[in-house]
Amino acid sequence: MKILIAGGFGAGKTTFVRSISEIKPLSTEETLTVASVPVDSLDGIPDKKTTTVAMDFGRRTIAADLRLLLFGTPGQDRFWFMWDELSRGAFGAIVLVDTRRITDSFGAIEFFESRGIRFLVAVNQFQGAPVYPESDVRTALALREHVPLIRCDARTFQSTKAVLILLVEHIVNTRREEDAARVAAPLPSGSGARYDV
Amino acid sequence: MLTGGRTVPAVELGLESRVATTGNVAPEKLNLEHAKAWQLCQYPTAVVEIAGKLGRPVAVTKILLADLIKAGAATTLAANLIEPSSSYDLLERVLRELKKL
Repeated sequence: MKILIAGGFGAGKTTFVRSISEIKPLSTEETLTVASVPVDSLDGIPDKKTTTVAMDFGRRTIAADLRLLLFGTPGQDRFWFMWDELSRGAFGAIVLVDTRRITDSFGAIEFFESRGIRFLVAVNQFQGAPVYPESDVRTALALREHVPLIRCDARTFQSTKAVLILLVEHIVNTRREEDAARVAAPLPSGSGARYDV
Repeated sequence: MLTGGRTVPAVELGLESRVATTGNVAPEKLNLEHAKAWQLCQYPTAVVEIAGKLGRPVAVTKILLADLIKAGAATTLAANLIEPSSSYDLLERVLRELKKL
């Protein structure tokens, strides 16, 4: 099961991967070919370019035949569209948020929403960082009601495990609702999984 | 030169594709860089993990692994990724095992 861990620079992605992985997180680079219009281009002619992105990889065996593959992905850049390639086959995603740099996670949220990749937001509660009410964080992120929001401490195994469980539960519940909606009458709008965190 | 100037691997591999050695080719017959990659896939191992351990970009690693596969020294296994559309039985099992961790 492939799970993406996204978020801004310094949001705790590597720490999160380290807390759950059974191997030391591995850092590697992926070279992506992209058709892009360089920002400094005056003629606006699309150009084929390659860009290198760094990522962290970790894994966790949860049963003899079941493994979590964890990909910590850079999210602070403007190349979100390239993530199509890297997110192929992903089960879901976790967007880590540092409340001191909340805007850093906009790119990741926008990307997963636009690609229909299910995700949740995990606020990595750094020591000394302000603790905002959930509703304020939701508003600041323009987060839709159905997206779960959870607080976590990316440094601890128990906390990262809780985030992963919530993600899988959310995705399974969403699937159940969609399946139910397909057989029965359409659900009233606004119905959806709600989580109290 | 690591990849002989090639940028496209001879066999298509994904980030999560697993590669394992076959035992059909003696590692002494491989050059150093291929032998290092070969060492890292004694058990089925994901391409991204091999790249990380090799300390090479994924693109370079894919070329090296594809060479091993073409030479018969390694083989690739499907990643078998679980998706949100996988069976409920499987998804429920993932949840149970996760909670047991």
